[in-house]
Amino acid sequence: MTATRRIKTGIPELDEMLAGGFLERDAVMVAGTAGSGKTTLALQHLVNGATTYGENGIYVTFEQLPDQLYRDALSFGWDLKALEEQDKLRVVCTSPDLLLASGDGEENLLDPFIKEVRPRRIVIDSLSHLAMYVEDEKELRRETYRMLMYLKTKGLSSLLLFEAPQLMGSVGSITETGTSFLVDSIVMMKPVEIESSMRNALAILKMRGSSHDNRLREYEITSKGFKLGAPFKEFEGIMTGSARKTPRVEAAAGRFSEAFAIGGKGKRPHEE
Amino acid sequence: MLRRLVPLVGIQFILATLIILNGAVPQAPLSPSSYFNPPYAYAWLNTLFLLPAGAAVAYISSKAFLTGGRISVQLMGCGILALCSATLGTWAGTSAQAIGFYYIVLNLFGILFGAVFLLAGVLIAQRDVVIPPGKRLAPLVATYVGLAAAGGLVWLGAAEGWVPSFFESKPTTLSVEVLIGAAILFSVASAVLGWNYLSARSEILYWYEIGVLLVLTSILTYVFIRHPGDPISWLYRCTTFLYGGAFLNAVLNSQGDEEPKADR
Repeated sequence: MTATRRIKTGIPELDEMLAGGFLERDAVMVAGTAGSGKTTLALQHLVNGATTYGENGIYVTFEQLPDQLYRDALSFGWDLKALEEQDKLRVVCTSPDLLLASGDGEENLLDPFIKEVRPRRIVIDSLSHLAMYVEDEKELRRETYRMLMYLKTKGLSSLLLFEAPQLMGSVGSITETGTSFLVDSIVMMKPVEIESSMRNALAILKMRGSSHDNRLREYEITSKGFKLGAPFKEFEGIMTGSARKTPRVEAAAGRFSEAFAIGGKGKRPHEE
Repeated sequence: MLRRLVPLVGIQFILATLIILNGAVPQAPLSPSSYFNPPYAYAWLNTLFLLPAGAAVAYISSKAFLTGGRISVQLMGCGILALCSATLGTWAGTSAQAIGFYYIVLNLFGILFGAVFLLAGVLIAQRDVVIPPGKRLAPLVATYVGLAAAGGLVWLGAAEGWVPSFFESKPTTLSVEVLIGAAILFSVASAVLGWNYLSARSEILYWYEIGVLLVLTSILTYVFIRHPGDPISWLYRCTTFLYGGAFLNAVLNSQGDEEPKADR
């Protein structure tokens, strides 16, 4: 059996959660509330790809001007301008309607950039802005599908940032967007309240065609970028907005029971 | 690292204790007259090394059954409890008659019940049978009551002389047959558990498998002991007290952070 090639994010803990990285050419939705760190994660993914893995990238932004993005990235030590000069990265600031309008029988807006840097990775920031330029949900699905197919045919692995409106409570708002079924994977990022303080949680909600770690893990944005921490193993109900401590004995009993949940499916999370 | 270190410390502690008690405890339980020299030393060792392990496995197994509904876990827990608690028969008395009637009979039946429950649990685990919530208490009570009733009957049978003799001046042929039968059941259980471990790589399964292998070694070495103090008798003694540690390690590992199964 041929092993599927993985696109590593360069964030070791996240790559471990993803059983080695995202699958090549997959469309990944990174969903989170405003300020949850989606842009930081996406930039780090592109910068690591260009500098560590020899995989160039394109950052398409509908909401930030390039100078603003360069400045923000530089605060983490990522010199996007230098990468652009080396033809390892392109920052494309455009309007969603221009992107949507292109490609109908003519050259796509992204074609020149793809020719220039020969990217393997792309970030679309964000799907939420794209949604503002289409009339209804059906149209949004059709346009998103068209765009994803275009990116896949170009051999690109994409991160599609999506701003989930719901700050607290369940994750229903992400999976009910109507576009979630079009993507291959969903990474969810959201602030959670635990013991009267705000912390950040990340989970892989979906990863088509691959095993993955299904634990909810804590993360923080540090001066060096995105840092993924330990799983929230002592708490349950975090995603519902009412986190409570898992009784120790119950947690141990659960692990003991799972160890014997053999029934022909005893595979480890990172095995394929 | 810590997971590997804890068992090592445990094993060293047990071996150190055995060495300290070397002069005080008979080398093999072949001579009833030397069993309790000093008084109840063998019973204390059984209680110290085996009973906590049996109780811990049974407790966590019951909790796991009530949580996840896997009857296989409950059956295996009962098997380990039967195996470990039957050694408490060493408290029965100091006379050779008491040892012959109570301890040997109870111990042999404990091993046999343990083997049957464990194998049943392991085989059922292959089908991942889950009892729905609300229907779990009855099987839980039934397994424990059944085990206690069986133990009581064996005890009564030994006292009333209903069961055939398993021990005279040395273990009888019947006791060897029972032990070999139990060893076969443990072998099958061990093979299946080992296979499961290879695919799941769980620390809990790892220590469970080590425990079962030690039980198997303990039974087989007992059958082949010829002289008290010979290397086989030492192997018997060490493996007997080590299997309690292995099962305890399985329980301790459930306190840690076992990686969950993957979703696809």
